[in-house]
Amino acid sequence: MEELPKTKKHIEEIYTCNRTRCGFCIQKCPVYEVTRLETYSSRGRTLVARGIFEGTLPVDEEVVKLANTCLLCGYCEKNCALDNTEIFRDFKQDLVERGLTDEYIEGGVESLEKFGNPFRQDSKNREVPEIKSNPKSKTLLFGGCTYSLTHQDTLVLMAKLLGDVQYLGAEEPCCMNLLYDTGHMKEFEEKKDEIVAILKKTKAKEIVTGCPTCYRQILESYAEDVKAEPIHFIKKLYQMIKDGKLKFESKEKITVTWHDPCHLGRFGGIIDEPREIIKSVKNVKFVEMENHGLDSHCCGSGSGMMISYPEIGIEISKKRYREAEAAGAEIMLTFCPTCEHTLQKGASVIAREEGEEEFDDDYDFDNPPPPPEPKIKVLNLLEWLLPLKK
Amino acid sequence: MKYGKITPEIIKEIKNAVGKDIVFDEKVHRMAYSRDWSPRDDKNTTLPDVVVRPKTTEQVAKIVEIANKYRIPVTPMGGLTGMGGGAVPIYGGIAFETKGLNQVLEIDVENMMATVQAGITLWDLNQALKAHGLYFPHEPESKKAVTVGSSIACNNDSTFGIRHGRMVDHLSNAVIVTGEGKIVRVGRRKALCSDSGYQLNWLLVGAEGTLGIVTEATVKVIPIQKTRMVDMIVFPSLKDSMNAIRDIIHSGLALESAHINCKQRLKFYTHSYKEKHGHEPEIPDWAEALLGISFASAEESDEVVKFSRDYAIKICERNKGLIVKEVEITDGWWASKYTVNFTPFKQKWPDSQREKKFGAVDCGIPIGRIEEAYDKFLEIAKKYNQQILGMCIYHERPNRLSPSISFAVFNDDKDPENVQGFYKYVREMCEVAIKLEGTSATYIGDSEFKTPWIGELEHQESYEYMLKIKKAFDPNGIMNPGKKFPIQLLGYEE
Repeated sequence: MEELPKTKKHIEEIYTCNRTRCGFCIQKCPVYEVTRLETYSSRGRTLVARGIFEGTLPVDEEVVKLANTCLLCGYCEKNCALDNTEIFRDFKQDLVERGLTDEYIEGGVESLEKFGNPFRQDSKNREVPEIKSNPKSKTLLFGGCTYSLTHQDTLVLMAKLLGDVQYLGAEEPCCMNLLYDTGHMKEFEEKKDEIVAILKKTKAKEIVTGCPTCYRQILESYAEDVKAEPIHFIKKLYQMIKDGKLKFESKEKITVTWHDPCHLGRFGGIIDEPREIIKSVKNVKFVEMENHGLDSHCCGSGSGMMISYPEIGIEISKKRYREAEAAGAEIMLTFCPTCEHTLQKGASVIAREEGEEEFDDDYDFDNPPPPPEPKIKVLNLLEWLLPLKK
Repeated sequence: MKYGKITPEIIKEIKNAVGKDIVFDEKVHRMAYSRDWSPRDDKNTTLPDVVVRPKTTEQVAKIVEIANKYRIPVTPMGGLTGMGGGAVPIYGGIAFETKGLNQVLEIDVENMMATVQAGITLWDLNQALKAHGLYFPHEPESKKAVTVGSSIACNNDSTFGIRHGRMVDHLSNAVIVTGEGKIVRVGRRKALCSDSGYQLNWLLVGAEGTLGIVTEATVKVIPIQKTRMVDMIVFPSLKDSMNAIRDIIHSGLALESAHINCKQRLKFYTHSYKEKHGHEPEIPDWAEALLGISFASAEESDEVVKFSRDYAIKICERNKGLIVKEVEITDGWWASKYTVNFTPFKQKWPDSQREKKFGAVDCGIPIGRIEEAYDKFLEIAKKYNQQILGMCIYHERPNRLSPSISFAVFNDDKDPENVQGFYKYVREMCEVAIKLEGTSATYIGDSEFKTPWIGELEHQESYEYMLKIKKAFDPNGIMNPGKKFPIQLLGYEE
């Protein structure tokens, strides 16, 4: 079998990187920052690909690990003239097509096959959030698996603000990003027509979603065929505030920062709107983290990292918390179910590490004290905002 | 005698000594540490046998001690952006990833000194200094990847060399692990000059890791520069541009940077101009040299830099210079040399190397013989079928004309013959430099490519004394073998 045919399409780009070696991709690559090995940087990865092409090293399990430890977050690509995320997505696909996959990611892929979502939830019998659907509405609310299954409150709030929407509930398909970002492109292509057909049937002109991953996937893979415009909910919210329909005020003075989800900021181009929304709230001081906007860092969960290599993902998430801390934030806001979950996890690990006390003699093992609360709260923008409504 | 080979038992011994979490013998990691920025043909790939990423000086010492016991080659690695193969593990062995040694140990504001673990990148050090209003003015273009330790080892160029000098001017104290695994502190602590003993801290600068691994460094820092002005001026000859720099320095002005580009080299910096205008800038036919200069000041007010800049332009005009009005040309050059903020990020590096490989020889030429050297450069590059990219003259010692020159070409790394041609071009250019009473290396070092012939060409009888110094620090010749001394001189066979 030819070694890595899809990756080989990029051979000129790969050799250009080997020829250049500026190393701008190493500075601040989130995975490099945790692993501190060249191998995990973009420049290291392309050199490994070259080694495979030239027969210097075999495609072994270490290569598979290397492929699956790229977040595809796009940070290095922003600092490079080469299409790094394209190269590394194709690298993953080559391995998947040789049957070299990551067992944990395979669990998610199997769930998509069986249940239509990555969480092994029986779609027909699952609990659907109570959202009134108008099948004639030209606005489709696309919940996305994660908000629909695990963060239903956010979805209900979004529906409330949008008013007249169409919502597919249990019939809603998965955006299939897990397939796309883990190199299961064949499987992704197979599903594509089915998803386009479902979306087309709604006759919606706009597809509003709160999940940045769904937003990007619809934008890049489905929107053209469906002939509908994908809109991230933040844009809608921003417009409502701009039109004076919504006003917010915090009772206490509070310092807040914003975490840019990769799919929303770097790939989706939505950077100013969330900041404007936060700044519109009275008594709120907005601060930036060191890495923000186009230079923002991944939460640690990109490309299923928290499934396959949580030991790396959690460290990336913890670094994000430390950035918020250094910026002086009391609350870190974002709008992405995956980022929210991952950053909350990082925050609670830090809280536990910092709160660790020696067990003394009267420690009650049957009724242990509650785990310590992180000093910085990680919240969904909308959930934070609505109680502050004037 | 031959170098020792890494065995599973030796790897186990290393792991037992320093912990298994910093020792990596998987092939992916070995591959990722097989290359720097040097021109080499596809077949010329050598992998280290194992990669280690220590976090403390003690760990470095323990690993080197084991390497020394079995005579295993040790190659220290920093930013891996070197141009001469200096960090390529040509005899295999242990690759030392020094970027794990990345802690700031002390920022001494009162004495304006920073002490760091030597694997910290220049970029990260400056991030840490910023909070104290301080700045480390060593500014190679590769500052995002390059470390303090590799800057010491290679004595690389700095954009601001003509004002602040480079590592030899900054390094006050250092800790090294010698070839026997001994931890030795050298230098003058935080004093800025010393007459005591031999200045071993200076000996480390440019040693290319052949004496030991620098694990800690104390460097002099300055206040953050708050105002700055950057200009480009064209001259009818290289000599006129050199004279202009000389006159500016001796007028009493403090130039922060002064780089002379030959006309051809300018094309390397015109990406922002091309982006805006859709074509290459039109440089007047008579222009042979393009001088880029900057003035900077720690003052909030721009009065000092404005006066300096205006006066310097007057001096340039007196030397037949004409100021470049297209701001994109100046910006393109400055983005390469300082801001590294390319918008869009189609910078000179990747886009210029899509087809061919950048390569340079770094001769130092006496100030009065630059034009002779330039003519030879054009002739010799052509002779070996190297595509001429052009010459850039940096000045690297404070307040004086001090040419550190990049004679740059593109070669075809898919064609082994053309790559061999590049090595021959390097050798012949070095011969020219020596003939002109100059030196073969100013910022790349002897590295892999010059080592086979450097003793005979450049050092003659002093080479023997250098070898004695080498053996004093590294008696078994395990530190970065194949660099500065051919391994035969250390008692080894290929």
